[in-house]
Amino acid sequence: MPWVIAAYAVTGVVLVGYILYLRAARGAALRDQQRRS
Amino acid sequence: MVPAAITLSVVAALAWLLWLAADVPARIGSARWVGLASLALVPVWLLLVSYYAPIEAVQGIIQKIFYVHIPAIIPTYFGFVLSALGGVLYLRSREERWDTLAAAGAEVGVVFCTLMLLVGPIWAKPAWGQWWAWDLRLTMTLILWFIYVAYLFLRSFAFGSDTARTYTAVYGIAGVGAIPFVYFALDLAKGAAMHPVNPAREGLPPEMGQTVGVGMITFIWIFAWLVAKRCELGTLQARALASRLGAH
Amino acid sequence: MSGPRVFLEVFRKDLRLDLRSRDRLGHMAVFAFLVVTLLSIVVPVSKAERLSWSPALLWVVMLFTSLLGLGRTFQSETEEGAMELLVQAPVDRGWVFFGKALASLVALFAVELWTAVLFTVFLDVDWSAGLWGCAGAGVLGAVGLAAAGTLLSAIASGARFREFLFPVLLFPLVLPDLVFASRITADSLAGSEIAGVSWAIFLLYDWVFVLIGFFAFDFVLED
Repeated sequence: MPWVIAAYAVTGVVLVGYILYLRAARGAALRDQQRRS
Repeated sequence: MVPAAITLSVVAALAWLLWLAADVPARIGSARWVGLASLALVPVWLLLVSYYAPIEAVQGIIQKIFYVHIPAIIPTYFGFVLSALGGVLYLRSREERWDTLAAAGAEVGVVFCTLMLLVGPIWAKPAWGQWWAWDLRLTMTLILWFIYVAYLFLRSFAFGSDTARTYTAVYGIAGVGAIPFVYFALDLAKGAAMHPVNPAREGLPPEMGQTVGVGMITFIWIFAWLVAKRCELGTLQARALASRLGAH
Repeated sequence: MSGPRVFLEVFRKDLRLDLRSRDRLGHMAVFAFLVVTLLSIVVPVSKAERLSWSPALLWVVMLFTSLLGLGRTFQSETEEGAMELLVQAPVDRGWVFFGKALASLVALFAVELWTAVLFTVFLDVDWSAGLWGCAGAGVLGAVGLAAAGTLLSAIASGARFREFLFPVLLFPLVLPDLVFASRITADSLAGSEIAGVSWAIFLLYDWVFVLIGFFAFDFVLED
C-alpha cells in the first residue's frame, strides 16, 4: 500500500513541480520584458 | 470504445497543439479550457482507480500503480514526436514558432519519461522483488530518456540560438530515425522478458480497461496543456530576448 | 565545383592528413590497445566465458576509440578557422559529409583490424571460426559508427563541452549498431546461422544514417 501511495505521490510532485517551474520562469520572462519596454 | 477514445484524444491534442503553435500569443487563451478539462478529469480518474477498478488477484493492491504508470507512456512518445515534427517544420520554414513547439515537446516529454522511470521501479520492487530489469520495455524507456537528455543538453550548450535550433532539429530527426532500430536491437539483445505481458492483448476486465483508458486520456490532455504553457513560456522568452537586443 | 569532386577533395585531404601526421590513427591504435589490456585484466572471466564476451568487448573498444577518433573529425577545421571554407562550398554539403565520413571509416577499419589482431594475440580469439560473418559485422558496424559519428561530431563541434556532448549525443543513437555488430559477431564465432533479417535491418540502419547525414549536413554546416 505505501508503494501505491508513493507512486501516485511521486507523479503528483513531479507534475506540480514542473508546473511551478513554468510559473516561475513565466514570471521572470514577463518582468524581463516589462523592464525593457 | 476505449481505444477509439484514446486515439481521438491523441489526434485532437496533436491538431490543437499544431494550431496553437502556429500563433501562440493569439491562441494561448484556448489553453485555459484544456487546463480546466484536465483538472476536472483528475478526480474522476482517481475515483475510478480507488473504487471502480477491482483489486487484482495476483499482485494485490500494488497492481494499482498500473493506472498511473501506463498513462505516462503516450505523453513520453508524444513529446518525442512533437519535438521531431517541430524540428522538421523549423528546418523547412525557419520560423521560430516551430522550434518553440519542438523545445516544448522535448521538455514536457522528458518530464513524463522521467516519471515512467521513477514509477516503474516503485512498482517493480514490490511486484518482482527488484528495482530494475533490463527487459525490452524498461530499457527502451531508459534509452529514450537518454536521447531526450542529449537533445536538451545540445540545446543548452550550442553556440548561438540559431545553431541551437538547427542542431536540435537535426538531432531530433536522427533520434526518431534511430528509435525503431533501438527497439529491434533491444529485442535482439534481450533474454527473458520480465515485464508484465501487455494486458490489453490478454483481455483485461472491463473495469480495468476503462480505468486505464480514462487515465490515458487524462494524461494526454495534461500533457497537451503543459506543452501549450511551455510554448507560451518559449514565446515570452523569445520576446524578452528580442526586446533586450532591440533596446541597444 | 560539383558534388562528387568536393567529396573526393575532402576525402583525400582528410586521408592525407591522417596518413601524414599519423596523430589520429596512432592515438586510436594506442588507445584501443590500452582499453583491451585494461578490460582483459579487470574483467575476471574464465577462458570459456571469454569467447562469449569478446564480441561485445570488441565493439565497446571500437566505441571508445571512435569517441577519440571521430571526435576529432572537425578539429583541424575548427582550429584553423577553416569551417567557413567547408561551408562556402556552393554545392550539396552532403558531399562534404561523405568525404569526412569515408575518411573516418578508413581510420575505423584500420583500428578494427588492429584490434582484431590484439584479440587474437591476447585473448586467443580465432576469427576464422566465423570469418565472413565477423567481417560483415565489422564493415556494417564501422559504417554505422562513421556515419552517425561524423554527423554528431559536426554538431558537437558547434557547442560547448564537446568532449561531453559528443558521447552523450552518440551513444543512444549508435546503440543499435553496437548490438547488431556484436550479436552477429558472436553468432558467427559460435557457428550459428545468422538470419537474413538481421543483416537487412543492420544494412537499413547504416543506410538511414548515411542518408540523414547527407541531407542534414546542409543545415549543420550553415553558419
